[in-house]
Amino acid sequence: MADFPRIRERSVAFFLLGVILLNPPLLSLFGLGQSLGGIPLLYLWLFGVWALLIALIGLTTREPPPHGGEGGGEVGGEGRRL
Amino acid sequence: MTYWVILLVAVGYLSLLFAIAYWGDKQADRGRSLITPWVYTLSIAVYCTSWTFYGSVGRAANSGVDFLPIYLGPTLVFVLWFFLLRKIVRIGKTERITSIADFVSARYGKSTLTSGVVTVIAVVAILPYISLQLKAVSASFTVLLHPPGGPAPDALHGPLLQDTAFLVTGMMAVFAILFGTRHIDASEHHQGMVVAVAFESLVKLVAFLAVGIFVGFWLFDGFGDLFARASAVPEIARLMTLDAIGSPAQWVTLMMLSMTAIICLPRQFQVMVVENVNEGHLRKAVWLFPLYLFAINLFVLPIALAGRLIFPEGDVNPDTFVLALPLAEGLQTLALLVFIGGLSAATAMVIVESIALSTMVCNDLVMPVLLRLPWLKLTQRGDLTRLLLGIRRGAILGILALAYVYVRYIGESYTLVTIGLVSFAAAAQFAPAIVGGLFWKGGTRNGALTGLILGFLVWVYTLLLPSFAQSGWLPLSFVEDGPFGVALLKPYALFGLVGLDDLTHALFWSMSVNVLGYLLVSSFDRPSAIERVQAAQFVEVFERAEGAGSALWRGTATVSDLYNLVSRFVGSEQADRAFAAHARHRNLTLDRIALADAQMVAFAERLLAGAIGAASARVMVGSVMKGEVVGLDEVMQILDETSHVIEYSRQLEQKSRELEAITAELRAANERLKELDRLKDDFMANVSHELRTPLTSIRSFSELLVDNPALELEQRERFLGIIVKESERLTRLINLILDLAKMEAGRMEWSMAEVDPRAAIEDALAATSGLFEEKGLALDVRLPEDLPPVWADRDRLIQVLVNLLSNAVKFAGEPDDRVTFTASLVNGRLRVSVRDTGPGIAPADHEHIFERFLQAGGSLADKPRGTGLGLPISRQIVERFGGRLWVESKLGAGANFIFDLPLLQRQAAEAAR
Repeated sequence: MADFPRIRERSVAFFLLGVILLNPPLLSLFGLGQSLGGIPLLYLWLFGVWALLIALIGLTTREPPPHGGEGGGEVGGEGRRL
Repeated sequence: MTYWVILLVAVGYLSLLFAIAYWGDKQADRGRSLITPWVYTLSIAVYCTSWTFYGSVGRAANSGVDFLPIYLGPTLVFVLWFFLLRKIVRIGKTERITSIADFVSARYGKSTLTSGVVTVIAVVAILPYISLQLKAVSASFTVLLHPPGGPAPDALHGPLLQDTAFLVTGMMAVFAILFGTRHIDASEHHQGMVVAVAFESLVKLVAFLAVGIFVGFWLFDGFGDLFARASAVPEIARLMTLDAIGSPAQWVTLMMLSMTAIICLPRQFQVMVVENVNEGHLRKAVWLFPLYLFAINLFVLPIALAGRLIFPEGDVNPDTFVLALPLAEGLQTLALLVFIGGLSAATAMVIVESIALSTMVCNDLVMPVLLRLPWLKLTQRGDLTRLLLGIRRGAILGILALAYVYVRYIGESYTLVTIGLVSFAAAAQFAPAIVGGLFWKGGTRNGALTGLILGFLVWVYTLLLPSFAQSGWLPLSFVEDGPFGVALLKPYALFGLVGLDDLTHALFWSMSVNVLGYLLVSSFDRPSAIERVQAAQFVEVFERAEGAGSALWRGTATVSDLYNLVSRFVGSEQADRAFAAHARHRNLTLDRIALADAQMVAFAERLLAGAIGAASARVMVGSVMKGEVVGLDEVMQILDETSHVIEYSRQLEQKSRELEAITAELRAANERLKELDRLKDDFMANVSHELRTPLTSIRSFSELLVDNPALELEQRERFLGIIVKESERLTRLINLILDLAKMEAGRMEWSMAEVDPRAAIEDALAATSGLFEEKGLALDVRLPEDLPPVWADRDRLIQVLVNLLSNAVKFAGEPDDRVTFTASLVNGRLRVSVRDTGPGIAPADHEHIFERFLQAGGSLADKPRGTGLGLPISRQIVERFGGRLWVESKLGAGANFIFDLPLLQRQAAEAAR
């Protein structure tokens, strides 16, 4: 149960990271025709970030599937008043 | 290459696919599923159609990395798999979803209208996309037959080629019918088809990578060389910058479109959700599939650059670079492999898409209508499986025929990518209803319908109709001047909105009206009972047990009615098996029960939904129910009860956890109490023992005196002396016990004052000097001249000192033993130590000796050499002064009793602070 919210938070963080890194305006930093070791920087950047994202997805799948439903552990203050 | 060779290869390859699919189906029938996480992943790769295979290079040759967002978007969606995909797949299983239309309809109250609307949108949106695949196959065929440089024939209108496109379409139809509609399956799995599609994904990846490697290392000296030569030509170098991609808005649009497409395209939904045999496969596929996309896109830009470099005149269509490059080098075999790869991409898409669409057309469009036509009396007819299969087969044929017609008449003017994007934009219209429906219980049927229809209409107006105009079906003035010359209604600049590319423009308008319509209508709507039930089933799929909303039917149905109903749609064999499994699961004997309970009705409805979709299943089950559907109030009550029960059980869990914690605390407290009780008993026993010893001797000597009045005076005085001494010991003991009791109860009176430790120590030494002399022990005193004052009770301090010194005398009993008394300042505290060279104390006893009545060596059986109260009291006193008392010793190496006390200045300083 304890790892549940963490997968969620991590996924959201990774998603936002991907959105930021792979879209303008950040993307335009790398799209000016620069190259690194003969390879266009834009090409390197896009595929590099892509590979990173794939690795990060792999990270979120590593935890074993928790049994039962999601969010079952969240008992609000109401429950404690009983 | 001759026409017949190519045709033979194509037909041979498709036959191989038939064989693979057949084998896959046979294995599945024997219960040995070939679907592994890898196969599942590869089947999702049906996302990469011929559009990827040929079109990406074409797009890259014109606008650089612009092709990439289409593949980055799905990767981003897969990052969110845990929220999104996992939930959709789980719902797909619990609700036995058969298609995306079924999914939307089931979410919004199993509404037939919704499923019909989704189906219509899907068919209209996907038809051009299927045509695109057929066109790609024909085009690749043409390129193989007439390599670039030769005369370019008309791609589709030559009699031979016409046959090719037709032949391929026909074979795909046969394939889809054979493996997509083999039988009606309650779980709607087509394992043979999935295995074949996975195989095709592998082939297209290998073919594309082969071209990439060929370009990099055959045509050029590695990719560095390729990039270097491309940079030398300014026009081509531009493709490696962001200038080439057009507007940044379009980049974002493409990414958003592809994010929705990976879920909303009917074929993606089919392979990812409907064909999923094991939810666990998702865990592997979510990173393997993006990896597949990564691999198949790696060489797109290099191939495009190479194409531009090698065909500088622009006479070769960039969409065919993948084929034209090997052909230009005379590599016929590689070209043939590429052709097979493209064929794989196209056929896989066409097969899955046509099966998905035919299921939708059958379950969500035709069947609901047929079931509602009273004169057909379908609800009373016998075996309907043949009817279902017939409809699906007809739908496949119809869809493929339409696609063929479309490609013949309209497919000419548009490049591959454009058609694909138009389809994506239509499929994106499903996204608000699906994503909203997954996470927002408030979304209603009317809201979803409003959003879908509005979004679709705007899509038709801003993308589909202009594409017709460009193909010549409508006057071009429709696009350029607006309908009837009304400029405000120009489809590419609606209401004068200019500055966006066509796609972004269309997506902005269609998604705006879609989302707003969905939200606004939903929030003013009053959803029906079943809508609320289904909303809860979807949104809370992980919290609810299966069948929680089962009590939706109030009427009754007999088991045999239900059984007959199900067997008519899925066949009696499957129905037998499913009912038997259900009975076994619930420990029921079917023969003995006549009326089905709510749970069984729900089970039958789900079973039926797996074959004909949720909406039709509800209609059918309704036809055998006697009685009425539960009213809104009752459903809400049931729902409330369910959520109350859930909440209640959570609270119970919480409470039982709290109780456990309290129990543990109580147990610990109880242990402590028992321990204290035992200590008290020990204490009482010890006290009694200690008191009895002097008392016994007093009494016995007193009795001697009473009984023998004629005792000699000397004797008598000796006895009286003993009595006095023992009485004193008794008094001392009682005083100590009283002290201890007072101290422990906190009622001791302390007269704290500034004490000069040197004076106190000297007093104590003087008081005990007699003892040392008596025993003949040597006492070393190391006392500094001046010691700073401490805050203490002077008499008590002396008591401690005397106690330690007299202990040393008692235990260091041998004449040559020494006692060393040291006082010093250590770390700003007064430290006093009394060291003897006696027998010492075992480390295990170091704490023991500070307990009441216990002495080193332990038991009461040993002859006591003291009251056993001195050390405990001393420790209490020292602690009261803010110090510590401890012992350092080893057995046989003497003992060193040490205490330290804080100095007065420090205490004062601390108090001041």
